Amino acid sequence: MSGILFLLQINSLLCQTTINGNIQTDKNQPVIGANIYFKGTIEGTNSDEQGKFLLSTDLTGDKILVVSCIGYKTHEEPVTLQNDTIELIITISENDVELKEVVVYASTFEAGDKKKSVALNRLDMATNPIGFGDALSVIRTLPGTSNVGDEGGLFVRGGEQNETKTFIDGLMVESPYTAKMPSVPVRGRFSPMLFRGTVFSTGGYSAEYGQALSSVLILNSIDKPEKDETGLSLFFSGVSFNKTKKWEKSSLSASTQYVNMSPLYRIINSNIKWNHEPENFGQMIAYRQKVGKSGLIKILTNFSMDNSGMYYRNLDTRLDDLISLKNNDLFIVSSYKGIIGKEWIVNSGASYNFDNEKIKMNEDNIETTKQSYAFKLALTKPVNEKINLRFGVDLFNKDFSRNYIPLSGNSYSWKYNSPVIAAFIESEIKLFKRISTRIGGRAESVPLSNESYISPRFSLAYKTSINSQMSLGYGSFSEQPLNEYLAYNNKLKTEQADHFIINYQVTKESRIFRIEAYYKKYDRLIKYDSLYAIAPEAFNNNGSGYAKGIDLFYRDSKSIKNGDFWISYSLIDSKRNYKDYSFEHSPFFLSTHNLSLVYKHYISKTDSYISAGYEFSSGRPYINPNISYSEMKRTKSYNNLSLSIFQFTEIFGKFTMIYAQVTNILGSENIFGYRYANHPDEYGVYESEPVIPVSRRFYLVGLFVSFTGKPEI
Amino acid sequence: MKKILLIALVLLIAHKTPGSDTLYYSILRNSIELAYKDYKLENYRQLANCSERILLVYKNEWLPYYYEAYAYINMGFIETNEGDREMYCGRAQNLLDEAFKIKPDECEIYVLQSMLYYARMSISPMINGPIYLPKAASALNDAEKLDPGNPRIYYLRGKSIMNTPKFFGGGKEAAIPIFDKALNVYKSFKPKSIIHPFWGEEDALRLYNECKTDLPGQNSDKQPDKKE
Repeated sequence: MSGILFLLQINSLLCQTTINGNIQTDKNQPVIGANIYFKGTIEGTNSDEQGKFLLSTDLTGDKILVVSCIGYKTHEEPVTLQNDTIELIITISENDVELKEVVVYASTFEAGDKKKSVALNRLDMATNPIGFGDALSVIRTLPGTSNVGDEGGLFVRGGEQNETKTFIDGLMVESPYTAKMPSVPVRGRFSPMLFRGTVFSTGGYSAEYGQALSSVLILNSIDKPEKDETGLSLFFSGVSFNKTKKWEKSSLSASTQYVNMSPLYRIINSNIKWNHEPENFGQMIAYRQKVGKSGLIKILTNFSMDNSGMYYRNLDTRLDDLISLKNNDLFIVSSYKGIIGKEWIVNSGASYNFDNEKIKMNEDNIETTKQSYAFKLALTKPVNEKINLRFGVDLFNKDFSRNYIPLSGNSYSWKYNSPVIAAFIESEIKLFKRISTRIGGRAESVPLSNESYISPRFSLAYKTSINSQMSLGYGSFSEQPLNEYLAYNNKLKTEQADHFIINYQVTKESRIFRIEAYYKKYDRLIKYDSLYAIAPEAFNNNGSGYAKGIDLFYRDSKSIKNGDFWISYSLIDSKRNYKDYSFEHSPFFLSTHNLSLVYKHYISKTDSYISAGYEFSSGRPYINPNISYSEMKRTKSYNNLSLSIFQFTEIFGKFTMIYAQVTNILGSENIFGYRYANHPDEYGVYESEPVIPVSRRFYLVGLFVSFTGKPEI
Repeated sequence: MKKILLIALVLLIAHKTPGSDTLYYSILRNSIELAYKDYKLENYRQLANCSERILLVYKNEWLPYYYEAYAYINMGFIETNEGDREMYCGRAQNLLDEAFKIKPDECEIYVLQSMLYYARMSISPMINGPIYLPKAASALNDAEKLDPGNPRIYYLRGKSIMNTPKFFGGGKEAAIPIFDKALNVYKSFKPKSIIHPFWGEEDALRLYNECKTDLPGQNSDKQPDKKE
């Protein structure tokens, strides 16, 4: 070794300090791979497998030694460097178990792609084996919902279909389902594939949403499509075409659909005698435009036209009534979201809904027109790291008119106009490291019934460990009575419900388990003398009821290779005295036990996806007037095993998906209930008929071709 | 002997003092080489730590952010504990966000972003696949627009297609031409400095051969033209 070099460096050597240290956790475990360095310099080292490190430096004086490691709190240790050896034992503690950015409150299911914790993703929606042709049926595989096959829609925790409200881009949709024909379930008008984030709340939801007694389904349309797309879908009973075009700051999507069930009903037996098989035309257009740095304007338009006619047996006349339906529905929603100033997040929007329904029953005409518009403005501001404030106003105005024009005799006309003005405020507060709460309220004013009220809402989430949490929810909810009732009696007050919820959830390694118990109390439900009453005084707010139950959900995409499944089970007890009930009993749509199981499997060899869905519901209550008006009977239980196969291939070099779906493979003879004649016949017997599915089994075969490569799912 | 080591160390430390922007290059380069030597967790951990120390001092340089993110993404692939994998991916995303702020049009950051989506996807393919696969592909497309001469774009695209079920238009057969392109671009690629990204070539070749081997009726020995 050269003496000169030694001399040159001797000065440095004399000034050297060595730190000999050990990094450990507060439980005396070594911390491996911690970063140890002098603040403000790049001099540093790592701790080894035993948590030990050795750091030599020619720095002198008072310095700060920083110890940082991902998952741990950063530690700063003041040291005095004076050319000696320092022995250090540094204890660092793990990061606090903190609630993640977004807290999952009780009764909320998220679908879409926002977070990993979502219960359902878009692929689930695309490959849903249950619910032939109904876009929203995948939601019915979540707990808390009842399978009501003759009505369709979402019946949540003992609530009627109208107690679940649908919101698109923050605004309420007055007619989210297709028009109702007897024994034919309604379907969702909007395809879930249009939406990027779907939130389904089965109770206790945010003060931002009102006019829903039981549940809200919140759909947020796509902000920014990933790429240009052109696709054609051909299936046995229809055709649809969709196209998306992207520009730098804007994008446009359109889809057109035509469905005609006539060919299918020529092959499979329908339990309905059709005069005109259901026919549907739908047109959707969505436009998005970026404005400024962070603003986004979205306009979504959906138009649908439905046409059908059937012979429906009249149990009193014992003749077939000819019922035909023509429905036109237009929904337009435009929304803006952006940031004003530094931290005000603005969400605003306006919507318009026009729905016209012409029903012809033999020679009588019933025409119903609903027109509604809504405005909304919501502002969110993070007050500090722990408090987040959200408040806003909304207005929902509805015009309803119904004209009944019989072939002979008097015509009737009912109409009303009702605005609902609301303001809400809500704050999310991180009380402690593990506890977060959402507290707020909604004030609503309903001039039609001369009411103003405040609905408090409260949620609390407690993180029991990194993977699990417990939450509580409470809320008071109000909803205007159904259009039909309000049209007969304008003075009816809003219906009311209170929700109490307790929830526990574990999410770990692609498995989600949750259990939830709830109690709901209903008040001021609408009661009337008889189904055929039209006199205003026949309707009142004297109804009441309750619902209580337990919901279970388990999803596992880890345990089975290439397999993924979820199970939902709901146990419910609910009684009501409303409508024309003569005593308090379970509503006719209610099954005590509801189970659904979805299993999906990817077969890499053949490049196909198989999904199977099984639904079970215990018998639904009914009253047989031939036996007793006060005795509840139950139908036999409902069973449905459905199977779907998706085969991915190429046709003429284009990405193609071929699919086939069969419902009710086991061929169960399902009965939803019974209907009875209004009057007994000459022998004193009420003629009856079971209410059964439109068809015992459905088949769907189709293919989807994408002209722009594999589509985004 | 000990003294020699000490002197060497001191010499090294003497050069570490901030001032010249390129002074950290050799330290970072050593750390990168150590990581490449063996695909082990601790090697990437030291790269993450080394990058972090540098980025805290050289706040306006994108490469230290890039390498720390790169290290955490790789740790995300190596680690088996799901919670840790998520934590590493989360950290990597924060670092990439910072890197984008410093150099928004840097092709390499987009490439790494794509790799991060891929890492997230691999945590739970059944659930995350449909979410992150399109994002990963879109990030690579953005990268290609910025610099089509970056071979890592084609390497990652090939890897993604290779591991994508045929279901979504992937498979080994579909990946071959893309790896082929990657290897050709690697041939003409010259990193801008000793610490600019240069990874991926060996893996691309390995995966290319793997795809070829599995192809029925193909000669598995066939390899693309070697570098001259």
